[in-house]
Amino acid sequence: MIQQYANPARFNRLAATLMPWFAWPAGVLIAVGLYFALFNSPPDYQQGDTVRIMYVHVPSAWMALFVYTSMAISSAVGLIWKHPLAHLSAQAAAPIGACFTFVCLLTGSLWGKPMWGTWWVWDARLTSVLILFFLYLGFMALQNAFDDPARGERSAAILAIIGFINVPIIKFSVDWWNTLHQPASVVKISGPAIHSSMLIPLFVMGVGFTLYFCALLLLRMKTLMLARRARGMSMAQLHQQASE
Amino acid sequence: MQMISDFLAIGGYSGFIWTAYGAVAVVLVGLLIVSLRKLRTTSAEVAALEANSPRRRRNNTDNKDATS
Repeated sequence: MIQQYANPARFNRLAATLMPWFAWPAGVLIAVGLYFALFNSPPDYQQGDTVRIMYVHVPSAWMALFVYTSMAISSAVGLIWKHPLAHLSAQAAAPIGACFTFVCLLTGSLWGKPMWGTWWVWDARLTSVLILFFLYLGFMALQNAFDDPARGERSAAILAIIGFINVPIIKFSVDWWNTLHQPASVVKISGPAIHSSMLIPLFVMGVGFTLYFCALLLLRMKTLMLARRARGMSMAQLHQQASE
Repeated sequence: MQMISDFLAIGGYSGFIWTAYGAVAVVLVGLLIVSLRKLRTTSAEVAALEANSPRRRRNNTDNKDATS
């Protein structure tokens, strides 16, 4: 069933159908999330109003991990089953993931300064997220490092899969190393340790960011497909000119 | 007026909070704009190439699908 979407025309049709279902709700949810985050949620009893940074910081962190996971899965599918869209999807996702990771680090730093008294510490969580950021950059660099795009694709895919080891490390870093970053308070076995007035903006933003990612992923995959086609066509034209 | 300036000051941490939200907006909207622009230029490129080779398109339809 998945194989039939390897056909570009079919993929484009499917993407065109799905796009509005991702893009519009993403815009609406992020707007609603911002309203809750900035106007309609209480200040924290310890963090004061800086808790509002969490409503963009935490969803960005979720996305940083989610996008990387999707990239590692696509890369594995591309290497094992050679599905033509798999590498394309990883390639389209990488810059989006890098942006979310960057935003996560930046907003974390802007929260850390007033609350921890420092922009940055080499805490396990912060360091492993910084490594995640470099993995995204490395993936993108490796992909373009070869003259043969297929080789770049494969090398980058291997990096993405090896780098996946970092994802559980990030997730559990706050439990394994008792350093500065606070442990999870939303995804916990005993249930979330946060009041619903703060969970609502967090989840609305999280879903909004996810839909934004989906819409942008489709758009970027479409662009990559067109670019591949342009490359094929210009090479064929050069060939034709040479043989004439 | 007082309400607006109170809101903008958000409990004395305004600099940090607005910078954080501003950075998120710049990065996410910026990525969207860059991606849309790239889609437009690539589509134009493909259209130009297609206009350039009408003969090839008729002759090698199968071949083109395989490369695209």
